[in-house]
Amino acid sequence: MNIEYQSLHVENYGPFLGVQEIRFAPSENGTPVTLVDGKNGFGKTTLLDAFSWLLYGEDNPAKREGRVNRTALESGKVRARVELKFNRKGEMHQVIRTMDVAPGMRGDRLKEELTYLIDHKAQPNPTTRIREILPKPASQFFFFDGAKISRYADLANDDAVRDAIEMVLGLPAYSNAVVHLGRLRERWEKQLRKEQAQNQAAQSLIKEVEAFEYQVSLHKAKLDRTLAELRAHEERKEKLYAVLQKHEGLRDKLERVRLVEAKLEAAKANLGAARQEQAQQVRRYAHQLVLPLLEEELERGSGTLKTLDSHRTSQDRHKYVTEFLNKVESSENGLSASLPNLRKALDKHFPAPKGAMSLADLPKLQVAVSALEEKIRFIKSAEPASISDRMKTERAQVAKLESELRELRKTLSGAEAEGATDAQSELESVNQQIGAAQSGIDGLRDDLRVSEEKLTEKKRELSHAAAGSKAEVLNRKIEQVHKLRAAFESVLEKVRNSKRASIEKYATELMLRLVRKNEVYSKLRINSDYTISVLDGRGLEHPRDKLSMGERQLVALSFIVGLMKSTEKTAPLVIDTPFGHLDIHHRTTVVQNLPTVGQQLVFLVTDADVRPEYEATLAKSVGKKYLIHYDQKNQSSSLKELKA
Amino acid sequence: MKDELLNQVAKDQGLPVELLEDILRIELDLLDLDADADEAVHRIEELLERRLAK
Repeated sequence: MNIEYQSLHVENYGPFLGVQEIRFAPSENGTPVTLVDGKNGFGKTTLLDAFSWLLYGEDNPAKREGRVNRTALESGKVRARVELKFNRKGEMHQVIRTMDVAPGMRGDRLKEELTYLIDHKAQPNPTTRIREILPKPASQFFFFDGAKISRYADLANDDAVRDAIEMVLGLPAYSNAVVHLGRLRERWEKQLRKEQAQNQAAQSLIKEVEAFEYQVSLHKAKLDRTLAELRAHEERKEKLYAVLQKHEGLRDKLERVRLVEAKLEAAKANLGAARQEQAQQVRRYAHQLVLPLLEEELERGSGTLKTLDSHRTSQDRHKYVTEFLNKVESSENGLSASLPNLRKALDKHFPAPKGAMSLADLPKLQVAVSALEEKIRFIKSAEPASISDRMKTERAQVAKLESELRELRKTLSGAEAEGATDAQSELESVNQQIGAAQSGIDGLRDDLRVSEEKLTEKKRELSHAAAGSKAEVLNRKIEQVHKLRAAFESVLEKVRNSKRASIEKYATELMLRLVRKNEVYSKLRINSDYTISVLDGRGLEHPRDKLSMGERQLVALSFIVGLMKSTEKTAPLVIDTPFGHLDIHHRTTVVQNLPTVGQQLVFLVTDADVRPEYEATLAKSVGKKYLIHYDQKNQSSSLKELKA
Repeated sequence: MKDELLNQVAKDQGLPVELLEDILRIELDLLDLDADADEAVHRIEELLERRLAK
């Protein structure tokens, strides 16, 4: 690819009215970023789409009309046109796609026209040229939405992604050679079989070979079925990741809800245990139930005792005074004349006690009250004070957690939360199915390998048994093609391993510069199927679900850059919303490091993407800057170059 | 690096490196043309027949 973009022209394309131009900042001289700033709906993503339409066209005729600017179409026949100029190996390439549209034209009547010029000379087969330079499957690594690339970090690459990676790495020619040489060998082996069929000695061996071929085909079919199941599970997994990504914002809340629910569950269990203990206490100290009655009785008894006690005093006093008066009366000492008055005074100040109880009952009542007090003391000592305190604490904890949960749930939409929870549990189930399928695949591969080895052995025996010059020639050809296939397999394996090592090296270097927790991660490992594993300091795989969405985006971005650095087929990166899920810290590290990787970069951003915390750093890398202006009156957009 | 590998493997397998290069060229050409597999098998067969006929 080795492409350096020069300019992009869009004319009456999408919201863009008339001819609009972007001249790209060159990759050299330290300012490789072309920044295109546009508000939502102004045409930022249309520019990303313009690259795709220009190079690969629109297969669906029904969608072609939507690519033409509506305002331009109102005034009659209009031409939508996109042109990209770029340098490649010292030559100037121009790719131009046009579509002439008249009002009312739809579907198949809308014809696209593609032109490819090199140094201003028209090239035959422009589609082939584009496939050679920038094949469509590889374009996902050159034009992409920054927020969507994290899927490459999800261990869920499907066949299409794997093929695209190998295409960028320039491997399909080798893998195709392996496949095609294998087919040629099969073809020649069939011819050899025909020759051998005429040889009686080879007959039984041919049957054995056929039996093994059948066995191999059964094993292959079984393996293919299991691989298809695995792919289906992986696709489902990818979709579930997408659902979970959509609910990413809810994840913290859901986790908090789950945590509070678990705490509430535990608090309720504690309360239940306390209740049970209390019930046991009540059963053990049944007389506790009579405690209030006893206390009431005590109160009554004490009251009576008090009254009697006070009566006892006044009675004693009355008795004393009466005895005194009697003495006075009998002493005849002249005081007797005063007696009537003294008795009146006695009755007035020391009245005789009233009530049913007599003083004789006093000691008995005192004993009864003491007995009651003793019983109450015993019961109170038997009651565990801790249980009531504990009940109180547990009730308060349950109430607090219930209230917290209510508040949290208020902030969550029920349907969304349910969707995320369902996706999470389904994902766990899908992961289990994937694990089962993967372990099954290993066994099936072993079976297949054993069958193939037996088949090869029988074929060899058959070759020796065969006679005749034609068969001998075919045997030589088969031997030759077998060696060639083995040679290409060997080259392919070596190139693959070296490319994976190279991607690992560059991707790891960049990732460690981008992520905040670079002391936790040590390496990005590129697996044989080009999925990515993040390794920790001990070289162990870091759990995927522990990576945040932002970290996954950085892992995927590092992978893409590693891929670019490991191939001769490079092209500029055009990234819509490059900061996607990233926080300020990670945006800053991206702004600091991505422009240093030697790629031409086109960032399509909104005003909200460029924050004061890293605006100055970004400005140092920006060589060209454009603003998408939207005109309300004619409902169309235009590009305005700003000072970078 | 790929050329070095091709040379090394051809040597290891006792194959002429030109033959490997010719097959690779066929594959690269057809890849750009998005040709089908039968075309590739046919062209490689022709190439090998020619080689063996020499």
